[in-house]
Amino acid sequence: MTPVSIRDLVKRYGAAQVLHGVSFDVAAGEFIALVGPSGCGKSTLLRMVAGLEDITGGTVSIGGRVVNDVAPKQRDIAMVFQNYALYPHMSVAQNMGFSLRLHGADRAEIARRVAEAAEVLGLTAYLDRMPGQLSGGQRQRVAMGRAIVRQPQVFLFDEPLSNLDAALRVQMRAEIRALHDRLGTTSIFVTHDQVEAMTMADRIAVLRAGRLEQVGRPLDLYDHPANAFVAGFIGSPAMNLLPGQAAAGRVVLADGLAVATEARAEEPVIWGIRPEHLELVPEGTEGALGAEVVRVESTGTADFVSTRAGGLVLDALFTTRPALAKGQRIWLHPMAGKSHLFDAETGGRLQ
Amino acid sequence: MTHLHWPNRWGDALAFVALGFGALCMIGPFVWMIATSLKPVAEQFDMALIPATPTLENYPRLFDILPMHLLLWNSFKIALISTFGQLLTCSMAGFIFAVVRFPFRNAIFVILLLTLMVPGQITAIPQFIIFRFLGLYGTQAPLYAPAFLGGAFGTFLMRQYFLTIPIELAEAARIDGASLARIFFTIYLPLAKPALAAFAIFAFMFSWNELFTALIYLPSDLEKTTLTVGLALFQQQYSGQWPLMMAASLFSVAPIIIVFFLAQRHFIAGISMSGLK
Ligand SMILES: Nc1ncnc2c1ncn2[C@@H]1O[C@H](COP(=O)(O)OP(=O)(O)O)[C@@H](O)[C@H]1O
Ligand SMILES: [Mg+2]
Repeated sequence: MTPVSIRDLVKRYGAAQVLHGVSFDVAAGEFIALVGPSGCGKSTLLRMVAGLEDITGGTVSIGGRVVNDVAPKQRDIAMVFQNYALYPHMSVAQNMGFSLRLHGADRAEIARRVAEAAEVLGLTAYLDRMPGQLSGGQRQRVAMGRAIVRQPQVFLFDEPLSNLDAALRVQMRAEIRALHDRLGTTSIFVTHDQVEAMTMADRIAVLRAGRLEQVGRPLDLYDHPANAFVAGFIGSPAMNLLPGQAAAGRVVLADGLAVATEARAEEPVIWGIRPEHLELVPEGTEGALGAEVVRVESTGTADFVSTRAGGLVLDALFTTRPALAKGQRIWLHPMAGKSHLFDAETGGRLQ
Repeated sequence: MTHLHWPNRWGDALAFVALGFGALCMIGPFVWMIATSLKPVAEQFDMALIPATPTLENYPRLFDILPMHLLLWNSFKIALISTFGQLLTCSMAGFIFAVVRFPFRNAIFVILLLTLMVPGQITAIPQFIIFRFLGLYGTQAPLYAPAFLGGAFGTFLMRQYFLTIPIELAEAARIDGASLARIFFTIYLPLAKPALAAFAIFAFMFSWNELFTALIYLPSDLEKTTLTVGLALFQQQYSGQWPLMMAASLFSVAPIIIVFFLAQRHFIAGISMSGLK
């Protein structure tokens, strides 16, 4: 098993800088998700690890060896693309065996390893089909098969699930993770979907506009986001982030609307609370915020309630199915120890 | 419903009439050519479309006057070799322009396209000097050798087609361990069959119809020269004999028409996918 190390990685296209010095390590056998909004540089970073993009500055090391100037085929990596990039004129078996063929493996060896991989992925019945005759999910599996057949040191995934429908996405998410648990190959998985990242990864690296915002285990990111961006990006529905003024153990959010916090100097802050950390309480409860229900969306599992409190939008999530109607006045109470404070200027975590 | 259809039907009818008229204009001279070739010389100035006494005698006469089989074979051979050369070199160049990133790629490509605006007459003299220097004057080589040096039109056509192939295919192959040549021959070339077919027709027609260069290098050697040169010579000597002329012309267009019908589907597909239309 092979660790990957990324140090001060910089990428420039002419005058446009896409990556501004990104550093993180992927431990041997670890599954790390690289997540961030569209256009933040995830694919660029992954392609630099693969050797498909030149490295403007910094280093990429695979297994302790700096590979900046090593050709993709000598990096011993496999990549799964968003559009799968299957060779349309080759059968499933030929697609999967292509790299082995190029590396001079003999026919019997190729057939054996392709059959093995097909078995793992449930593709045995489709080995003679052409990619055009497969469903989206099957194509996705072939793309996976093409990667695992080679037994590379590192797997790179660039949004491999985003062309699948929702149900299949959930299924493939679990399958890819199960495959990882079985093979133990170091993996970097790029996605813009934080749910995918949360459910699949050992650790998550959050990227924003070419800068690394935080790296950590999924629940650490959820519980202790390093800044307001990560707080808003990780978790669904998203955290409420409200600007306010800290003063004497309170944060004043708006006229007549304040929440208690630890004592702080007087300064502008951003106060954050996740929708699931707001409780519905009776009128007059100490520290409760008065709010008016604007919208209720129920999935059966939970009710998502959007409210307005003192001119601010405040979302809450209840699993108790309270009877709420649009326009109703309710009282919301932040659970103790569940709120977050961020610097209004830098967005960095306070506390 | 019917209401909505009426304007469409009138529109369709109008289009049919217009297109039909166009087709008539195109096919009229062709029909006349066939008709004239079937007339005895005495009838040649009759305006009738159907010959009064149809005859096939013009065709054997043509073979008596000219070594038609040699001319046809020369034209065919040269067109085939040129087409092969063009397919090979233009698809390679198009591939590089579509897939490989290198400095000044777009600038170089634009310069290449600009060569389309240079008329052949301008390069004819330097080219002649080069071929004479190489000792190739009077051989067929000058008619097909340039095809192996690529060409702006074919490179453009193939590049446009290769651009429609997702670049990830080349990238996946690179990671799989394929060299650039391998990516070209095992992935891009097989996927470009429709474009290759369309371009092959273009290239074949171009070479088959070529007269200017053939007149320069093989002006009178009927053993080696092409059908177009043969017909040009023939035209000078037998200009009064239209049925013979038309029979000869028919020989020059027939292969093109046959090739076109055989590959019609690819031809049209090739044009629409290269974005030329
Ligand atoms: N070849 C390129 N030339 C110029 N800019 C590019 C190129 N490729 C990507 N970019 C820019 O780099 C940024 C990051 O792109 P990308 O890594 O694809 O984002 P992501 O995968 O996170 O959505 C984008 O703003 C994009 O416009
Ligand atoms: Mg991307």
